[in-house]
Amino acid sequence: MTEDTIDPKLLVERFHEDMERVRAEVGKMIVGQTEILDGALTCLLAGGHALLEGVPGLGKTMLVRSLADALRLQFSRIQFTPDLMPADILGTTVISEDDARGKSFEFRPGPIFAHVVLADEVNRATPKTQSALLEAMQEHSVTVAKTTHRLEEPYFVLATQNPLEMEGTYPLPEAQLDRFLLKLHVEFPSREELHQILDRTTGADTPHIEPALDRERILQMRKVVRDVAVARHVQDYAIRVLEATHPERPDAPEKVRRYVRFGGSPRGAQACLIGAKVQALFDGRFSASVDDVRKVAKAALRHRVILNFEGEAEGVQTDQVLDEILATVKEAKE
Amino acid sequence: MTDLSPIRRPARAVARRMRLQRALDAGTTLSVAGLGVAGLAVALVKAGAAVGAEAMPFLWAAAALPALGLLVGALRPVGRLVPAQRLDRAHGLRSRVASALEFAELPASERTPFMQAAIEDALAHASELEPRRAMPMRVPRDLVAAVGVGAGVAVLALLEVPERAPVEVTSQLSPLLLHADDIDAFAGGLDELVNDPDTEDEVRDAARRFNQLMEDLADRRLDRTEALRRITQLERRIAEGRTLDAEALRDTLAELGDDLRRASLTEAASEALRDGDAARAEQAMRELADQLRTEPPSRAELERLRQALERAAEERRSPEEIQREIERQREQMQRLLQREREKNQLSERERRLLQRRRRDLERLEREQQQAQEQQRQLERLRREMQQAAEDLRREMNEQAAESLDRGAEDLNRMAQQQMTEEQMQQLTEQLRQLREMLRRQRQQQAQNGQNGQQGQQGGGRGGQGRMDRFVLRARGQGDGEGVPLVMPGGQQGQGGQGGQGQQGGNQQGQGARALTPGGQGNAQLEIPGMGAEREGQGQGQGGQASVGPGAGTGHDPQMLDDPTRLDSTRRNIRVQGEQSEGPSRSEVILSAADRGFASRGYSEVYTDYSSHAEEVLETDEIPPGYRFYVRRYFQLIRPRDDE
Repeated sequence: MTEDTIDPKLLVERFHEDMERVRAEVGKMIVGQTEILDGALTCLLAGGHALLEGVPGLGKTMLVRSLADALRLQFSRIQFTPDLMPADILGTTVISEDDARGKSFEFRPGPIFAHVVLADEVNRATPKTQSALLEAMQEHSVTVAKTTHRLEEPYFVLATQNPLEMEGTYPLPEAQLDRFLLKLHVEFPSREELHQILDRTTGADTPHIEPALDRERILQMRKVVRDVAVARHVQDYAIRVLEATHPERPDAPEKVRRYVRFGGSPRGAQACLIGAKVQALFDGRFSASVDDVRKVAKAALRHRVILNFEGEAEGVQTDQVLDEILATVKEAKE
Repeated sequence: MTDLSPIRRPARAVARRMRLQRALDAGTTLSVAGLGVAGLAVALVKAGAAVGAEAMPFLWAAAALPALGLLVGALRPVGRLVPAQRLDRAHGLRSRVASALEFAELPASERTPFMQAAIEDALAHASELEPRRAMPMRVPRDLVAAVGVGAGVAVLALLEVPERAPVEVTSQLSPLLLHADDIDAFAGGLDELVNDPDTEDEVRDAARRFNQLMEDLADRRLDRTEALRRITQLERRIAEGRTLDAEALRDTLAELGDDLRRASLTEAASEALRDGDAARAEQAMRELADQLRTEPPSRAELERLRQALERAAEERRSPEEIQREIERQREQMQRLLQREREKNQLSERERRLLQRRRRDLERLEREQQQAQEQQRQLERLRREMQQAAEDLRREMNEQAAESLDRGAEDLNRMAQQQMTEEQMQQLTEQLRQLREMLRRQRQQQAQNGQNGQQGQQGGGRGGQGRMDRFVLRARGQGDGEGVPLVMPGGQQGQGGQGGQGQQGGNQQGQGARALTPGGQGNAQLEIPGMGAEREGQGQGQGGQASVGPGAGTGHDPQMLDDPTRLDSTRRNIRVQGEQSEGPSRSEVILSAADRGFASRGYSEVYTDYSSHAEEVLETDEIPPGYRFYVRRYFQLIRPRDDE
């Protein structure tokens, strides 16, 4: 029985169960951060990449590592520094010698060749290195010495950046930010969550994460995500939300017209919709809803909306602009 | 084929409820406007601006507006998926119903398994769909406003517009307050007329009325309007009572006197007639009649008397001539009046002119009546004279004497009328002065911004009021009390300034200036005519300029003379100035005398000065009140016949 012939109800049910298992495993190590975890899973299942932004020590790396452990995927971590070269992450060709073939060039893949790549503090690397990573993210392949090397699916990059220490950093250009499906804000945990973190990390027992999903299952789930139905009015809502981010639009809210320089690209609407599909599956539904779009809209659009000088000078956050957009754009005209 | 009715039905129900809510909202909103229109109609009817039939269109409009709102609200289309979306939101179905309905519209071949699964999923939740939850009916948003406006209209409809009852406005009397001096200046002035037995009843009645008016003013029983009304009434009454023109009668009698002067027998009568004294003329005529009876004169004298009487009997101007002249004037006035009437929309100025000419016409008619009466009396006198002349020609002295007696009777009547006329003139003059005083008082109040503070008039009205009262007393109408007197004098006491002689109660006192230039400060002040009653302190202090604080009320305790000494009517005071250097007061006076002091009596220059003053008054821009002052001044200083 192929995936196409399986009853959607069964597929959705299994999807839902798998996700619950993954959450449960990651939850052994990570306290709270459910939105971040859902966002990361959304990116993984939607075939995109995630950019995590948060101050140091909030467990970003731990989250990614735990997720990789729960997924039984190859994980690699790259700590980006200013002296990091593209070859350091892509890999390089070296001369190797053996008895059978003699001397020959051999490609030694870099850390980017993994299923889950954690690009820690990606904004500390030079643009050149950043470009190498982002090209691999987009193309899912690496070309070294005229040889293209495919990255094995699922290929999932989780980049982190620290919004505070901007000294000696190279902020990612807008075009490269657009490559990330979602940009997730890691918030400071609540008091209860802090208690749990301390309990788990200062005791004698270290939680052990069991793999819940393997690579094949993830690829199947990616296909299920693509099959989720989207009604026209839901898609229309996603488009209207995207249009509302453009200040030149007549129906753009006041904040957009005043503080936004450029609105989101079509990739933003794509991200909204694919994210909404994943959200529908998380919820055990067969079709995406307007609420699903709303749920992922901020993560999908916050790094795609570019503020103008006035907005930056006044300290306006893109999330504030998006909140006004979501409050302004109605589900449908009555 | 999947049956979608379980989700379509509630969606349709939601749509109906939405339409109903919209209809109620729109109907309520427009009912506010409709009630406003109805209120307007009711108000128009209540105010009498419209009758019932005229207000009906408004009421129809008021009824149509809510109906229109209901219709529009009910027929306004509802979005295709809006009811389903409301159901999703209300039940937390995450777009299940809306998506299912949308998927169901696709052909079955285009539906994916997930779409079909979504439809079935929505149908699975259909049992929990409640249209009432998705579209709860609420109170129309403008219901409160509609109820409020409706209540207002109902109250307006129930209101009974009260009939306009004329409100009786009780006028509050604001009494006219006059200074006691002003009251005194007028009070008692006409007592002689009232008490004189020879006074005509009309005059006595008018004088009594005037006295009553002054009493009312003194007791503050009248306000300004009432006082002026009574003055006008009295003036009109006096004007109606006057039967002849005193001046014209005087002229005519003077003409008769000139004619009678030809005979020595009528010399006395002639002189009296020329003086305009009818009473004296009557006496002379009676004496002449007695003389004709007792001591007949010579024939020559009789002949001259006859000729004189004949000449006097001739009419200089016939009554018809006078009548024609009056008629001509009247016609002229009527033409003017007619011309004014033909104009439409007369301006305020033209209206005032018309009114003035109407009054002129009335005056002319009154004068005509007076002239006719006067003419009849003169006609009788001339007839008697003619008869006397005829009797003399026939040498019938007895009959001639009788005719002269009858002529004397006519003169007696004329004398009485003349006296009455003079008394009337006196009354009129008093009334005019009173009116002028009231006018000036009001003017003064307006200038000072004082309302009802007449108590300060004594000090605040300045010198004019005091001057008037002083002048009245100077003319023998005063009350004998002292009057503050300004005594300009030199600062160093070197000059003598003539003082004003103080007038006694009813004495005809007069002031005279005796100026003796003193050398180097010597001055002599002589005050002839000093009355027995004297001014208070400060009076006669030549060296000090002082203004008396007001009318004195008694004798100076330092008075030198015996107040009971009747012959003490004057005394001389010698003021000895001190010898000193510096400018002498006398020099100043001398220089002033060179230029301004006249050596001629003022009676000789009065006419010139008065004419010049009149000329200036006519040509220069002088406030009317001040014109009165100037004219009044010249009237008061008019030289008398005996001066």
